[in-house]
Amino acid sequence: MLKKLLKYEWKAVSPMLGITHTVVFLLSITGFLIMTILQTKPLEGIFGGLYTTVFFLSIVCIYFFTYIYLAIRYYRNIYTDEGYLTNTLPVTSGQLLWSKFIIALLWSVLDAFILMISCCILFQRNFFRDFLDLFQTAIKAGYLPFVIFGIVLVIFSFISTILELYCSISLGSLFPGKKVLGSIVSYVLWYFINQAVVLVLILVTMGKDLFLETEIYSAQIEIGAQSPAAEAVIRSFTAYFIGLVILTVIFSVIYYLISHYILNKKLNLE
Amino acid sequence: MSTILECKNLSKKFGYKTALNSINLNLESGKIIGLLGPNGSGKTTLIKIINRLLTVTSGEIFIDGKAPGAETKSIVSYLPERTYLDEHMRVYQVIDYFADFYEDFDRSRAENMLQKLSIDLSSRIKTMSKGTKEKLQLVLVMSRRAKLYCLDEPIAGVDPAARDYILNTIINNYDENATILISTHLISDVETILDEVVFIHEGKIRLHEAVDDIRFVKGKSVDELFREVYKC
Repeated sequence: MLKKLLKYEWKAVSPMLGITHTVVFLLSITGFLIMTILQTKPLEGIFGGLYTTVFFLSIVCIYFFTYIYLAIRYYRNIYTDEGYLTNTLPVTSGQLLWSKFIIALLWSVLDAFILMISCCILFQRNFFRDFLDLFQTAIKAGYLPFVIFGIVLVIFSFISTILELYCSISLGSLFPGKKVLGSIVSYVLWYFINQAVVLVLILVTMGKDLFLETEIYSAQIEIGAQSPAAEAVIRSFTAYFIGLVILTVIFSVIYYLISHYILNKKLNLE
Repeated sequence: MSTILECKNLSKKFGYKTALNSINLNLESGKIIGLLGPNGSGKTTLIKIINRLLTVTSGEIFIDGKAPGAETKSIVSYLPERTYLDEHMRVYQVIDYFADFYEDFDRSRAENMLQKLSIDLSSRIKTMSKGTKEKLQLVLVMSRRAKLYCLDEPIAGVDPAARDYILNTIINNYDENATILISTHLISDVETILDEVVFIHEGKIRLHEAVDDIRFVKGKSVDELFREVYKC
């Protein structure tokens, strides 16, 4: 049943997201071609500057649109009239939730990938290679844990973002007649909870460096430098990254459990 | 004959409002049962609980001996009183959807009925009139070979000719071993097809009798009895 749910979920969300991402991709190609003809570069000259600005705005809009669209899809398909069909399918609540989450995760990764490719085309620069070079330099300098946790953090950030949206929508469904408002309020509350927890993490992992070891920031810190100051900063950041990864995983689990519980035990379709 | 639906002290509250008040109800299989009551009596609430669209406040409910869940959803065919299809889909896509998820869905039956209604399989649902959408949903629901059909106000909001069509569709596609639970406040239109009636009022069961008993023993039509029971 999960395969069937995945199939229909993919069919439902892909047309709109495919179109919007194709538009951004075509914008990057068009910009590249025009600038090649005009022999101008991005950010250079009036046309280059204007086009780049429009392009950046479209990137930001498409990025936010993707997540908002996936959230609206979840809300409409589960908690409104469409929910009368979705929630009467012979599937479990877990299967319903996983199907939507997997497709949303897939599209959020595709979104990042397509937007990056588009930037590479317009700016005529291989940003993927730049990241790879950065990682290789960091690894050679002995900062492998830093790199690994950074990558893991990016992956779990995708997961956490989607599940936070689903959790907020599920919590909003508990307020009859005010589901949308309830969802927004829940999302804002989770944001503040997240920020508070991250602040505590920063103070715990880097507080000493921030408030007491001020000479660290007056020192010349370079990647690969062997100075105690540089090593101390990298240790603090690594500890912060580890803590952030753990927190992101914990929050993701909490969001999933709340979403599943409400869908399974507290569904009350009006 | 087995018990297809069993409610034990079933209650549902929305905040301070009691929608269902300690309902005890047993429905046997192979019957067409009218769940009758005025607006706000609890008919839709009961049907939504059967389909796990609402959670129970207290008490128990069993469909074919099982609590509502994925397994019971595979044997219950539900027609809500609203459009629940994704309106961006085309008719043939919705048929594929039902055929994919419900093993008991009879595709050829659905396509035959839609052909008789002159509903184009390639038309998009959002271009259809309200009445056509309701007929489409009814066709999809009655094309399943379910054990329990829950039809919530299937004839409200449609013209008299469409009502006759809907009732004929129900009768002609009805498996003798299945149970059809029809909730409505339009008694006179449906009473001719009913085997049993359940009167519900303010969340309580007022009466559960065979239609023949009402007609021959009480000497009244169901409509007359309803007006008597629910007299303002």
